[in-house]
Amino acid sequence: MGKKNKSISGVRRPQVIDMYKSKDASSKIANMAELGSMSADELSDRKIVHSGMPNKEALYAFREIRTQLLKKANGRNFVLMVTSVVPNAGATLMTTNLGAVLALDKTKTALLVDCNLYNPGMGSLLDVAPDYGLTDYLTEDNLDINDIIYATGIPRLRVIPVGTQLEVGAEYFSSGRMSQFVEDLKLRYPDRYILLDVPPIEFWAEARILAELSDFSVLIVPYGKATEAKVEAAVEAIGKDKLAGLIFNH
Amino acid sequence: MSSKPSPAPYNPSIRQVILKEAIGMKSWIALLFAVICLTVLGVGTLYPKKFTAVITLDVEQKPASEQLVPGQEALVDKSERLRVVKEAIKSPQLLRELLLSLPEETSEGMDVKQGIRKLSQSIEVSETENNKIRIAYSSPDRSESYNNLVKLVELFVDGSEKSRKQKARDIYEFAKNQANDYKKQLREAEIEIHKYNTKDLDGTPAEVKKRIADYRAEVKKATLTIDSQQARVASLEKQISREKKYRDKPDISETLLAQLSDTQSRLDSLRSTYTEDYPDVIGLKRKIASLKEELQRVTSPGYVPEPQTHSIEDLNPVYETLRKRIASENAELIAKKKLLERTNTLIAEDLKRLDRIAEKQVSLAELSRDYEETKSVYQEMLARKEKARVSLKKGGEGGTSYRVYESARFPSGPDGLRFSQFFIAGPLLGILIPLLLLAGYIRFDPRIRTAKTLERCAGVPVLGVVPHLSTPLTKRVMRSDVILLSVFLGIVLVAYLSIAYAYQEGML
Repeated sequence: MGKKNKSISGVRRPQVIDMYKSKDASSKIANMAELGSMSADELSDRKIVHSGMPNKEALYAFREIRTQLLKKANGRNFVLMVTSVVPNAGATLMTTNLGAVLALDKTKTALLVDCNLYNPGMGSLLDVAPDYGLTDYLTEDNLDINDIIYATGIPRLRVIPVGTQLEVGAEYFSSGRMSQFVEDLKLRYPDRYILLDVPPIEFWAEARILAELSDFSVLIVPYGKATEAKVEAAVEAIGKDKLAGLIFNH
Repeated sequence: MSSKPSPAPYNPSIRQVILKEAIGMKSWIALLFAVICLTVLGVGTLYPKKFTAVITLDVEQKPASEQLVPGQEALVDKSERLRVVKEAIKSPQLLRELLLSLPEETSEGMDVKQGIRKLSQSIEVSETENNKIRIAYSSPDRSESYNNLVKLVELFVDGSEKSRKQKARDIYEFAKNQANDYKKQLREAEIEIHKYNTKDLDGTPAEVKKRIADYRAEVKKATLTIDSQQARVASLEKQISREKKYRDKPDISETLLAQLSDTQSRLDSLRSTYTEDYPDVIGLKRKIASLKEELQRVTSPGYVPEPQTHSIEDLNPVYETLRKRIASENAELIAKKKLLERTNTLIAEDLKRLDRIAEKQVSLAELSRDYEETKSVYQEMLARKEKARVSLKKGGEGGTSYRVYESARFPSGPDGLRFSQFFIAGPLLGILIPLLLLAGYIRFDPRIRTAKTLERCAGVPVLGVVPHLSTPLTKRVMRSDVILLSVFLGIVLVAYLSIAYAYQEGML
């Protein structure tokens, strides 16, 4: 599934940024080469927030969420797990948009990590099918983090797709390599905010494992789909201390 | 909105939530709207029209200046009045009359009973605020309502007039008959009393009592006399018992002895002078011998003395006197006793008579009381009869009379729900019902639809509420949906208006 990649715009953009190979490899993300960006229409088609969007309410909502998360992180960067109570809650879009709204700030970059083995959705941000992804990295020791980070059409927003080894499961997420990986991502750039897109907590164990690796989590509650009991169960599963809050998605 | 620098965070209220859901289900809602609209309109076209003609009657209650028959003509009070009118109007006789006066086609195809029931159902009697009686007649036809109502009221008013006169006549008749009855009774009572009085031979109780007292005195006197007389008789009898009826005759033997001694002495004296052969002496001696023989015979045990025979000369004069007195005293006593007995009988009779008199007096008192009563009633009846006669002459005044207060109005439009109301209600219900259903659904669906519920149940802050993000594509789809629905609703509207128009023009 991850290999499938719809080319929405006709323009091809280079996707992989080889940080080692770039001349200014150690510089801040702000100086990273941007390999072309999506137009406002393209963003709208993908339901991705951008500063010029007509739906200001949505933009403000995401900005408000961003403000609260940053406040909670005390000015440091963070690893944020985004999961949902039930499937089809729009968690991937929510993660993307959180990343996008974080990346609106020119001093910050956001990295989306697609941990959704079952229903990966980050592909739409990429023009071409990525060669590797998170699962490849976890299963193949010779892969470097930079091999799996892809640029998107949005400035300062990067993506680690789920990869090709979709048969791996939760056990990889609980491996030392995974925790090391998350740590590395966070530590390498202090202005980088890492967002994990995690399958719905209702069905999968990943969310609980990844919650441990994250600084905190947000729980997406879709409008008109989740009962109170399910929300209570999800909150219980993540633990209130790890949970930054809920996002009610219409 | 977009120009606002810091808008309130997106947080839809329950109303917005309903709207959002409504947008989500717009096709269903539109369909439901169409169905409800057209159904309501359809019901409107089928709804039976009812035209009601109304007439108001004034009820005059002349407080019938005098009550002709007690209790009967008492004024009907207000609550009763309506009932009375209702009963009169819905009475089978009146309705039958009305039914028979109607043109044939209205009562066609049903028997009289059915017709009456139908009429009764279409008539409504009520009371207005200003104490008038309101009679309404409803039917699907304007002129039928009007005509029937007019006819009905006419029949009712005439009928009540007639019945009022009839009533006056009845009352007169009644009073007359009553008066006659009482007259007869009175006469009978008079005769009875007269008979009683003439039949009375016992006298007054005072007389009888005096007589009894006299008798009693007599009885006392007689008793005393009898007593003394009886004492007298007793003493006389005592006396007489001591007297002998006859003077005592000496006992034969004694007589014989006396004769014997007498003869002896005579013999002795003769002997002194004469010898033994003196004839006298011999005679004496013989006599002595026979006396002795006789004596012996008498004194012998087997002697039966010869019965004594008395001659009148033997009677004792004292005894005789006593006997005579006793006899006369006894005769007197018997007479007195007879008299006493007689007197006692008289007393008993008089006592009985006294009882009889008392009894008779009671009956007489009763009779005269009845008589008095009958007489007073009779007089009253006479007066009443006179009043009734006057009232009859005046044409039955008093009682209740009805007058048309407000003449029948030709029904201007059907009552109840009008078609126009259905026409308006259709779209309103078409909108309201789906929204209410939706609200109910949202209310009872356990799935979370507002941030408030979410925050309350989770116990964790809600960082934000993200509104729905639409892509140009979804917007386009939405727009085309809206256009389609608009077309659909347009068609519904046209159909709606056409049906309404057709109905209004009488094509349906």
